[in-house]
Amino acid sequence: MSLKRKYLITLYFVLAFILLFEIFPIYWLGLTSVRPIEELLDPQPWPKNPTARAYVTVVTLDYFQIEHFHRQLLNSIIIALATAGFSMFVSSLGGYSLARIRFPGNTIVSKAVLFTYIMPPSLLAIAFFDIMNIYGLVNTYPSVIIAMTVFTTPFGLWIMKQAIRSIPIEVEESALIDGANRVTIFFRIIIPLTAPVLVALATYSFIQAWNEYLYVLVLMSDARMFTAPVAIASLLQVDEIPWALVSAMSIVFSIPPVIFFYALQKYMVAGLTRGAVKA
Amino acid sequence: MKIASRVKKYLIGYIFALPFIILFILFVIYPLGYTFSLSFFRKMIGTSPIFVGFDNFIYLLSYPSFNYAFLNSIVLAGIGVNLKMFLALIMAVLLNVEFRGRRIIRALLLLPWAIPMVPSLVTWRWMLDADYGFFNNSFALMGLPRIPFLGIYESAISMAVVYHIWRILPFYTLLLLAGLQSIPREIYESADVDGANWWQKFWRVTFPLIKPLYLIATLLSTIWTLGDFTTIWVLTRGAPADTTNVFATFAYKFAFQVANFGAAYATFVFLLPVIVILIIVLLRRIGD
Repeated sequence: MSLKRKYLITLYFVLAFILLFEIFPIYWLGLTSVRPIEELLDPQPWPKNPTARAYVTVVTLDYFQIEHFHRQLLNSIIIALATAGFSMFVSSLGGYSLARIRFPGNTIVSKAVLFTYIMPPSLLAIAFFDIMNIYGLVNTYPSVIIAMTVFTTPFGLWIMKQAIRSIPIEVEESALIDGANRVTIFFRIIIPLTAPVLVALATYSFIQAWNEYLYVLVLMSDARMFTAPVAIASLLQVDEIPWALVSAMSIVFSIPPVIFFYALQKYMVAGLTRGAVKA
Repeated sequence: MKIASRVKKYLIGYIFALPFIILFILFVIYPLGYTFSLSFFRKMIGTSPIFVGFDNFIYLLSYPSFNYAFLNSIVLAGIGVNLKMFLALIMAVLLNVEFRGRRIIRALLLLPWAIPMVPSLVTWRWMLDADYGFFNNSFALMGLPRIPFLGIYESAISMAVVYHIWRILPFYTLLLLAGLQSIPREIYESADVDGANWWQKFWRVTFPLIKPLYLIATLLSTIWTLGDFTTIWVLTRGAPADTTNVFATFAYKFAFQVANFGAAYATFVFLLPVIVILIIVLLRRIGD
């Protein structure tokens, strides 16, 4: 009893410390975004006179270095939505193929999916730029959309494969007997039954593309083609960093992915662990 | 007839997998091969490459501070990853016990992982600011000297390690927690019958069962840490004096600031074999 109590106290203490470490920087970001300039240097961790000025600036763009920020947010939306769409297309088809059809080389395709998932995208970034440059695609949406589709598809394909495997095979067999072909089965049976997973993988791809920094930095050189994270990070290069404004931009930019992330959190870990825990 | 239907089935398999196969060949295999072969060429934007043998590698090895890429990779991956995994294991074990508020704590813990990297790097850079940052302001209040966290090599690279741990600890905690929760309760019950204490249960039961997952997570984290560009580029840009650069940031610098693409490719060629070997080891462990 007392040992258990002691254990629980230690547990709460350690957890409280790590939780503070994990949460405080994000709290500080929010705090900085609502502090008036005069208060920015105060170390006390609460605002005395909170102000929405930085957010008003984000809306009015009344600051010389952020004139394209709305356009950049729109770029983020376009790239993220397109990535989600293409990723759904490639993942659902590939997932069905790997889950249901045993063809020569399917294990190689499986390995290729995992390889692409694990491979750090940064290793390909310079070559990607060079290749896109040859085809005149630098500074266009397709370059980033292609890159993000490549890097989000493996996870999507993997969870689609798992989801399709969990559908009883009898459902398809009876449809085959009724004379339906694979394409009909795919659209009439597989897609409706895996709809929640499709939504999850689309959300995942959206978040990844929305958050992407390196590939946009490499492939877009015109500020009007930047996405929001590249725009935000570029403000950190000036001598007098407008911290309240950068923080407000960061918060605005973070809200959609954080909401989406919480909506699909069970897939975020499950997709990876299901394979790994078995090993 | 039988053969024809089998061929048809294979064909459908290939056609459905084709979009991924095309992406994989055009945008994974081709850039990888491109990186490797162009590392032996002098290459700038818009010029055709000229074969220069090992010149790019010689250029890199004689480039001041390039050796820091090796050192920093060891610090970030060798020390940082192990520290992170150790902490994640402790966290997972702590969270594997039922207690009040566990769900809320888990949900809150996800936040650093849920928030995009650039915003979280913004807040870390601001907190670490040499003149006005939260840490230095607090130090000043306590009468302690100010530390230019990102201005000195040792502390700057340590802060990159701290950021990595901060950002991804929740992910590996949940990963290991999922592993812990898959251990059947009966095993612990029989250990209880044998009179095992908490520590014995951890070392004799929990750890051996979680070890495969722990190793996979360590490998995964090592690979992703070695390939991380964003942390260093947004936090320090390689400063002070190019010492905090890693392979990815050096490659970016050579390509877009020095306009020497050959050197950028050669930079990755130092890292690629390590990554590929680690991925192969990992794939063997994961199986299917």
